[in-house]
Amino acid sequence: MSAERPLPPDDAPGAVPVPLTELATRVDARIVAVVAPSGEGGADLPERLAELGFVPGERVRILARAPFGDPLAVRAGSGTFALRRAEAACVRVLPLAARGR
Amino acid sequence: MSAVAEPLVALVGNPNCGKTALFNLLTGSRQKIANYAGVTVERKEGRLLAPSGRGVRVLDLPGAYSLRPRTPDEQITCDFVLGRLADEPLPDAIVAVVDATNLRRHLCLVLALRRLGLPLVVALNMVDLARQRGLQVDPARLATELGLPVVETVGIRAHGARALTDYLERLPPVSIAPGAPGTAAIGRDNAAAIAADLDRVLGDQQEVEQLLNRLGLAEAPFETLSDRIDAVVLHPVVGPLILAVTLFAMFQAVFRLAQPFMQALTSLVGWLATLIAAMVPAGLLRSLLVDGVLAGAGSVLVFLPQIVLLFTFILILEDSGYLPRAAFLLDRLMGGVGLSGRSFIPLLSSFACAIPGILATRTIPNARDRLVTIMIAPLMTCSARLPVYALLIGAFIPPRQLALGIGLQGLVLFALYAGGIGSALLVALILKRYARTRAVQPLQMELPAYHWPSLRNLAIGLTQRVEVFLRRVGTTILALMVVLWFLASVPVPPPGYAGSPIEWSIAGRIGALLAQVFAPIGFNWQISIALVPGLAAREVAVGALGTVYSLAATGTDVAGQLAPIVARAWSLPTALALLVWYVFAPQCLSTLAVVRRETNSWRYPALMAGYLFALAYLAAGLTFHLSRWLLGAA
Repeated sequence: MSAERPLPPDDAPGAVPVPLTELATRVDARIVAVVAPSGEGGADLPERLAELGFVPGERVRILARAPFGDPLAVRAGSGTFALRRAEAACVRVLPLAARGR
Repeated sequence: MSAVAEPLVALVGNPNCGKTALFNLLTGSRQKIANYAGVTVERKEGRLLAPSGRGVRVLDLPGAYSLRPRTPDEQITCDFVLGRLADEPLPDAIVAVVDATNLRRHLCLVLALRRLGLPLVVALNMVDLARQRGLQVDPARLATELGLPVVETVGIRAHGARALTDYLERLPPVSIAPGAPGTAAIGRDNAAAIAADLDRVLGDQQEVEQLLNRLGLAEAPFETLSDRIDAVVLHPVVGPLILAVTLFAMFQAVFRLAQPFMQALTSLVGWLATLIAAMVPAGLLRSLLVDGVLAGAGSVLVFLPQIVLLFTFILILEDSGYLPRAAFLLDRLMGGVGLSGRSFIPLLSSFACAIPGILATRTIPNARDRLVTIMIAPLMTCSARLPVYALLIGAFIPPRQLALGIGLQGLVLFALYAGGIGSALLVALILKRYARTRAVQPLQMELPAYHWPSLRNLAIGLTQRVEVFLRRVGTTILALMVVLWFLASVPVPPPGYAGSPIEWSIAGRIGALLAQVFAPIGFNWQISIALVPGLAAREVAVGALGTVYSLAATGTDVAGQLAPIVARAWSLPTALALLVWYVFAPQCLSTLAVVRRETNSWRYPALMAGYLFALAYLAAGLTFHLSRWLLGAA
């Protein structure tokens, strides 16, 4: 189980990019973009998230949602980070085709 | 000394790369902990003694995700490798520690470090874990790709650093040349190389990606054992339950397991006092040794077992990777009062002592969150308040059993802890109203893979904390007790003086003055005197009360003999008021000194002392009058 095979970047047919926050828990997706938050401040958020491994093409999965739905424990590549919903919303993802999970 | 200095190497790496474990492995107990000049970021230097007998100075720099600093810790690491720190020369070599299971992220920092042009070696750490996950990293090929030497290390295994030791041993000798040329210049040149933007980040990441592709490491297994543990531990319902049980068990253990050790220490101090009494003739010297030194410093030393136990639990939770998970679960709750989950770890440490708690706030990137956490840390009931609680509860609260085997005394103790936590949340909530921005507050907290805590790391971490505590007992507290003993002993009253000698002494007169301030909240002059050294170190208050009540008792028996005396001398409202006073108790001078250093201004320690004093006075006054009214009415 731990040695899952690498999966081809086959996006689910007809899928459109959504904010990471809208991804269901334990469903895999691929990052398509990291955008700056709409409100004031946080302009360097994409840069920091990129440093932590949130880059386009990386595979992500929400491992868990904390009580009351915030923050999220997010796996990106080989690292796991806790992100607030507001941060996670800056990450746009494309859900991957379900593979008989 | 010879004309050849020992080379200095600096360990640099992402947080959670196993850098500190590697540092412990390299240097063992030959570590020195200090602060960088002007700031209180911990400076950990150790000495590696290579098999050949050659010494190498090793510096453990704070973890950093990149050379674009966002926390005080990262700032230090960045400034250090750029040669921008006063009194800190550039290292002779940098050891870039990378987690072999996390190469994609960790190699980006290596690329940034490579641009600095300093001698650089890559320590490929946690190779054992990588192999378990089916990742075969070939150090020779990685070295060719990076154009840097690469050595394999396993920070948690006894001989896991041998390859690195061999490498460091072969470093060219360093000649002592004061004011080595160009150090500052290198720093300035490199600043340009580091000034980077998103493009640089993405560029580095692409380079790492291509490199991993060539090494056949691009696709790492995605789901890990940690993920499956997290499915339970981070579950929105089960997770908080596990956390609550863990914390409850921890505090239970701290109080129960410590008991026999504390009793043993108590008898040891008592035995010493008897010994001194037998050897030293009655008089000033014996009084100084027994009443001043043993009764004072000894009564604090007794808390060593509790501090050791509490830190053992905290270190195990930290080393295993659980603490950030606890912070994750509590983040929303703490967000309600304007804090983040990151404040949880410093506040938890504050239950042992506010000082390590305040130092731990350095990992909070948000300046405002950090300041609020510092300001409320003293409201967590530190172990120094326990002797006061224990004395008063033992003297005034009957040991009645309530339902379900819960004792009334234990319940009161719990209420005092809860009162501290509750008021901390309240203070944070009030401060939240003054928060300036409503911008997105980033959390970005890494949840590292779980691993078994290492015994070596635990032992070294514990030793360092015990040393800090013992140094405090041996210096600040001891000095204060001697001063208090002196003030309480002179001048000697004239023959035929009717009252107790202490009333005639300097301390007695100060107490009489202070009593005017404290009389409205029910404190008598004896309590007032004891409060003065209690400001310097809370736990001293018990010893001070002992001295004030002119006890013939010795050593830490003070607490035992003091209880019946205060039970007779004080009313219940007075005792309750004093208990509540200590929930807020203007914290010890050492805490204020640390706050001064951490915030680099007198404003915050002054503010802290002021607000805690006001809270303590008001709450104690309220308790005194309310309980008197209730008792009178009953």
